[in-house]
Amino acid sequence: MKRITLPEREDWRAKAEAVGFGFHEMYGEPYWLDDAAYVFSLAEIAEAIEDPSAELHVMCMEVAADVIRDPAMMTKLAIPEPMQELVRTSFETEERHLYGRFDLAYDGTGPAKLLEYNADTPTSIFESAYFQYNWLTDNIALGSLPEDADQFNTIQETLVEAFRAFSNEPIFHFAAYTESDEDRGTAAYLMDCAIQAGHRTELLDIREIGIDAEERFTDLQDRTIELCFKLYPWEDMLREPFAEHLGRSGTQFVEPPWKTILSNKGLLPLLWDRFPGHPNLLPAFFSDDPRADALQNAVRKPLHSREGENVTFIEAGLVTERSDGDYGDGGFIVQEMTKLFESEGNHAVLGTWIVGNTACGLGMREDRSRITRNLSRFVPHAIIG
Amino acid sequence: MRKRKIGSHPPLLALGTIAATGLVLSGCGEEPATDAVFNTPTECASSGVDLEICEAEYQQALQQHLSNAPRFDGQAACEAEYGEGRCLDAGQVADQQGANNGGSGSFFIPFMTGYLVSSAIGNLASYAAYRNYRSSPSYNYSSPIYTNRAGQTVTSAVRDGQRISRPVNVNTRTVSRSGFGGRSTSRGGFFGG
Repeated sequence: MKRITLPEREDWRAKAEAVGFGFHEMYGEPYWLDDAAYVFSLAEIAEAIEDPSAELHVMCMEVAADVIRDPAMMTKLAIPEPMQELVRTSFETEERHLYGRFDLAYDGTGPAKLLEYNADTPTSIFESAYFQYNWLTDNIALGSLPEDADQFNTIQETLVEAFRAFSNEPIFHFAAYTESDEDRGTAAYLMDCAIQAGHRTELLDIREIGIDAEERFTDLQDRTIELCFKLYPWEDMLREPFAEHLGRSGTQFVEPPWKTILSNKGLLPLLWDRFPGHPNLLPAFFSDDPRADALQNAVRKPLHSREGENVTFIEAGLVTERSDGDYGDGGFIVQEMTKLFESEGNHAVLGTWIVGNTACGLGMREDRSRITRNLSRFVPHAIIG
Repeated sequence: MRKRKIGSHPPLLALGTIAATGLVLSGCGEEPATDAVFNTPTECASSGVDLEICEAEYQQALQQHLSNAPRFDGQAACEAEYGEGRCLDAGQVADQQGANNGGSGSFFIPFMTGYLVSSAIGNLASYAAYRNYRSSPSYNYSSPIYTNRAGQTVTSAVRDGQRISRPVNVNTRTVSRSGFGGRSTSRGGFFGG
């Protein structure tokens, strides 16, 4: 594993704009890096990244099955009690899920370590599946990468296949927070994959979802919503005014409610408890567990947090770095610190994509800080040798 | 040559862009439904459609339901799918109605609680016009409507030789919106994962 630089494609901005990838800059900073790449060997990808990601997903499903049977644990994960039945039923009836992204720490030595599972509302899928693919083929054509350069990326074809497993009879609605370019683009990309799988689709804002007198969710044309992808976190939906209708609405949501278990940072101590010493796990405990205090070098994270908010670094028992945020109200976990791949002041996190139950691709993000936040950059990767 | 980790076909975008917003996007060229659900012929007629048409379409939907609805040997099995008190013994009814019973005897199906009347029918001025429309190739049957145990609105259909319930997007009246999306908005924006 190494970080390389190469000439940027002269026309990459035009190519980005042409496909509606307007968020290649965010908050006035570059988000997509065209002139850098992470390079892996095939063995690193296959043995250290792909296989462990597939295994981690299976382990997560086992933990979810445990949590489903344990109301006290659901409460510990801050799943509101009136909503626990909904979560349980969605798991027991095997409501189909679509995708998720593991964030892994890996520096080319030793096993990759799970940092967290973005199993409910992961973004950067378009960059990983589509734009990164074209970056590779363009650079091979330009001679900037060798002819046999490869990439861990069958994401789009796996997505289209996964969408085929959903009924194409009802309209497939896609709900997102549409004022965010990144969220809208992510939902629109997934909607495109659904269309390729034969679905009729419609995009709407999460706030535009309505309810009728029979507690069915409705779209802006007053049609019932039967099947709905939502790029909006369950931990919020379960606490919002329409939550009370979820159980009776009959709407099938993607991701399904049980994904709230896997996207919860409480998953990390539960994994460690069930698979202690597993090579791809870091010791992790709920913050009220005495063993949490014994971790001298650790990261404290809220149960519900995105974009690295409210994360605290503890080194030699002292707080050394802290990020602000609004996510601190639902409990915390403490996870042993691990080393991220570092090159010229850039800290890299690997995002492996699970679509259906298949580990099918990788997207790299890097940040000047050890906390990967929403100002981090997406960097393409290649497999060489 | 070793197996490659990258997809063998470059990913494509059916729409050419991810900048799409709010459009109705159709995978198979269908117009969005503007059909209406009624529980009874009387309710249909009160919306301004000719009562005879409403009754004929009701019968039509009922026939379709008796012939296509999922069948159960016992009431309990049927109620497990559709809820208590929401199934009927349809063996006898089907015989009387002359629907394709596929064998005689007792079997249970979910109650049809309403029917989805196509917008084309709402536009017909008279029963005579309706008769003409029914014999035209563009005739769209009114679909039987009921709910499954999960509360989902479904209709009866035959797929791959199996009688199934499948979801439909029915037109309804929204009583309230903005019940989702408030928490993340109040946090100053939400940016995915």
